[in-house]
Amino acid sequence: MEKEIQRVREEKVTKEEIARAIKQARALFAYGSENISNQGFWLGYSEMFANYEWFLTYLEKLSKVTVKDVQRVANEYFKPQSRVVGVYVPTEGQA
Amino acid sequence: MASTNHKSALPGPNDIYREVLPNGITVLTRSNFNSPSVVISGYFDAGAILDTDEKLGLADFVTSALMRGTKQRTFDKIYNDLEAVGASLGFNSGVHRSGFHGRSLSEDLPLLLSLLSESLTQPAFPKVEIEKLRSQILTGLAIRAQDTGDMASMLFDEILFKDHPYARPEDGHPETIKRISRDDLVKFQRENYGPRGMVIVIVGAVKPEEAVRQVKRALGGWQVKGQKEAPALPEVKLLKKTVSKSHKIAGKSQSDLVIGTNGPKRKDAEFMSTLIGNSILGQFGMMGRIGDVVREKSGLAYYAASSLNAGIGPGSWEVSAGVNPKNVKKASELIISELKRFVDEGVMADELTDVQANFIGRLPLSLESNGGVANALLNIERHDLGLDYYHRYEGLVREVTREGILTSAQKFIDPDKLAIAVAGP
Repeated sequence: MEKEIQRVREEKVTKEEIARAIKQARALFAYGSENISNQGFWLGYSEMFANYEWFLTYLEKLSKVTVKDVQRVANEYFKPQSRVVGVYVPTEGQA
Repeated sequence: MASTNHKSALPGPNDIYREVLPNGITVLTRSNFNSPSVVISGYFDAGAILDTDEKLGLADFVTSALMRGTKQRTFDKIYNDLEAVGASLGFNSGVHRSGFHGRSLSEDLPLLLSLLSESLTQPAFPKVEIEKLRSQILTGLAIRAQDTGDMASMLFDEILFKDHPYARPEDGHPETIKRISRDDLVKFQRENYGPRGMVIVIVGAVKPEEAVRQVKRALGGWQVKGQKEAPALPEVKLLKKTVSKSHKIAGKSQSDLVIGTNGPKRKDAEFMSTLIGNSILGQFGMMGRIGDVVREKSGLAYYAASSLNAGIGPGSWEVSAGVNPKNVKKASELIISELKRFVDEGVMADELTDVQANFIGRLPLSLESNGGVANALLNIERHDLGLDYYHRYEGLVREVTREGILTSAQKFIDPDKLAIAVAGP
């Protein structure tokens, strides 16, 4: 896991990987927009951190994501000092 | 009334397209261009009813193995192709039929249909994958053996459907799964899979004629000579007295309890009155009367509810509850006394009005998504309900009377002839 996080920070992801991720996100967004309840959720949710335009222009913005964008964001958020790691440890004597 | 206005939004003869292909496949489609996605769903005539007792679980094993590799693609390639476009596809099996369900962007419908076609007509059943799958199935059965809910439910079916195919669990037993060879999988698929009796529903951002054209391209050429027919379903022998059985699972802190009887077939005239009656008995609000008496008022159960399982053959009408092992007797007595009250007194006028409003009001919500509409179309086709079923639905619900519920309750529930199954410590 550590290696993969490091890789996405240091090496550029490929254009093909970006295209695949965009396609997957486009599909998930389409499934989530099928019903009115979900559309209501997204309109309300986007107002919480931006405004409803965010929902309307999501796909357009998504299609503009570049290899550089991914590396920049990975370096901004995947810093070791921002990391929180949780580990479950079995209680002694129990299976 | 507002209900008249939203009726035009419900699937009906005006917007469901149905076509039977020359090879016997029935295609139903309904367009929805609100979102660029599409759902495919359907079934075909190959279920556990075809399994022998010695190799019970074979039909289920076959459906689980269909996507482990085809003549064209490896297991990895199948899932990589699906994942790359954010799509999904899967198979499942039941007593009478096996089914499939998938979704994708509408531009990837050809991929879904190709994978469906390859999996159904040219599965490779790779040896390594079959053995991995066998281990997974056996692990699932080991987990089932430790689950009080699953075991109570299995025991209940054994009592209620004695000597009938419905008594058997579709996923088999460890010893039957171990007996199944790769040759058995190959033979089962070759003899039982075919286009006759197959139904494909496509709902989403695709025009009906285009959807049918794509199905024809993927599966229109599928022909199977001598496709086997399922054996006729024997009559269910009704219980002559109450039969109670229990199954011990050491170390459990909860017991699961199932009490019930035979219910109607989906096509029976009493189906709707029984369904509404069941909702009052153990579904509506906090699980109806059963939930109120057993859980809310007496605090005896972690959950308590009733369910009606009506299908091709006679189903079951059952109350299930998860209880503290020391409360099994008390909870059983309370459930049986509620069943007695239900068949003696029927339901009250306000209970009926509430549940009718609930059934009518929640229908449009269940039809919001492509998946919901696909289920509705399958329901129509499976039980021959007519393309106008959802337009008639409100009327069918409103037609149900207190007398009708009482009559059907008395027809199916005899509190002195119940199947009672308990699994716990």
